[in-house]
Amino acid sequence: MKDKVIDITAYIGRDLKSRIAVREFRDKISNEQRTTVKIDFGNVSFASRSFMDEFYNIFIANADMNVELINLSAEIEVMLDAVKSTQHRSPKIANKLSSNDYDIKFSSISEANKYLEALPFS
Amino acid sequence: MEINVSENIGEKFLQGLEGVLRLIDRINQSEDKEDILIFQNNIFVTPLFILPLLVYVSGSQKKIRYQFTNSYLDTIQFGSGGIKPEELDFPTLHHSLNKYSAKTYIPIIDFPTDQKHTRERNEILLAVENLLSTQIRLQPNITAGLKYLIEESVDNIIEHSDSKRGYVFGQSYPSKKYMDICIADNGITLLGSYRKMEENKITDHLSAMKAANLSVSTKNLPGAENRGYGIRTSRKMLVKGLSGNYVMLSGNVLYLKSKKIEQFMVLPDIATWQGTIVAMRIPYVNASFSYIDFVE
Repeated sequence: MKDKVIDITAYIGRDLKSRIAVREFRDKISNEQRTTVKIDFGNVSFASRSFMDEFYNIFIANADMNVELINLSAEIEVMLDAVKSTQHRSPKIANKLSSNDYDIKFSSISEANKYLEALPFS
Repeated sequence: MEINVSENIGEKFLQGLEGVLRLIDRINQSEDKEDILIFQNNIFVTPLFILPLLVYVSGSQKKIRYQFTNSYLDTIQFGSGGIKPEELDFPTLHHSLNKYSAKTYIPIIDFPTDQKHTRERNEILLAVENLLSTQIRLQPNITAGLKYLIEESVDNIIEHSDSKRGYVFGQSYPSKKYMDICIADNGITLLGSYRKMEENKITDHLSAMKAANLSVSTKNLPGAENRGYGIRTSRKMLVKGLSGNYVMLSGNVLYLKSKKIEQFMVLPDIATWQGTIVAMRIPYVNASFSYIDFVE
């Protein structure tokens, strides 16, 4: 059993940007039989929210994983805080989903186009 | 029926979509089993014309063919349906894209969504982001935002659409300092994604569009987040941060969002897309923009 620093960019590249990438990363490092993992973000240039959300669920919120994150940039810290804070937030929006007076229903394409043409949307 | 496609699509953002809607109307007026869309020479089209048309045609019950000798449509790979990264080795792929470095548009990209082709997909998306960035000399702060906007949309296709393919197409307007990006799939629509959730209560395209844009996750995993916040952050980043315009189309519902307008619209049933389309008009000169300010 080893405790070693893993440069995440060596596995994924400097842009961290899909949920699949997190799952592949997990599979790769799981095969290396480590109990404690230090993941180095020092060379990361970009991370998407989806990536960080999946990363949070697989590596940080998962009790089977013992990870320490090192060299997080301020941007990655913000992204991580954002996904942490929304894990259990359940927006109460059910009443906003149904149709209301502000929605527009068109009965023909010419009617829809006439509306779109007049819309100041550019 | 032969349907002439002769109108030039101008720079007004929704004009491309209006053009597709007119074609759909004519296709539905035809009683023929097969229709041919004949593109006139020198026609100019936009991302919000091309991808909604491709997705509509791919989901149509009728057989619809294209006929054109237009060099622009050839250059953007319209006839082939787009560049497919898994069919090219990486040097050939980069060589193909380098040909566009002096243009103001990228070719249509037709990428696979499966895990097997993750490397090819990442390679071409990175190449596209670099190409767009180089073509109009984007500042790093805008490039980061552009990456975020593209990647979140692509990830939604991979995770939720059940589509085998995804599509990206973009056009820049250097004199106006904005670019249009369209990202699409021919999957199960937003409604289809919600219907796969346990205890789903969303039963129509309008509710699904509202749910996606008001942060209801399609993920059914305990503790797992979500399509909702990714879409919300993208939209906020684009509209508030860059003063851009955001369009989402899924099934027969259209959603528009700008600083001044937020509108959900139900189109007639004949204008139903078997898939989801996101289009963004992205102003790209903004020194104070930082994408991270909009993450929530």
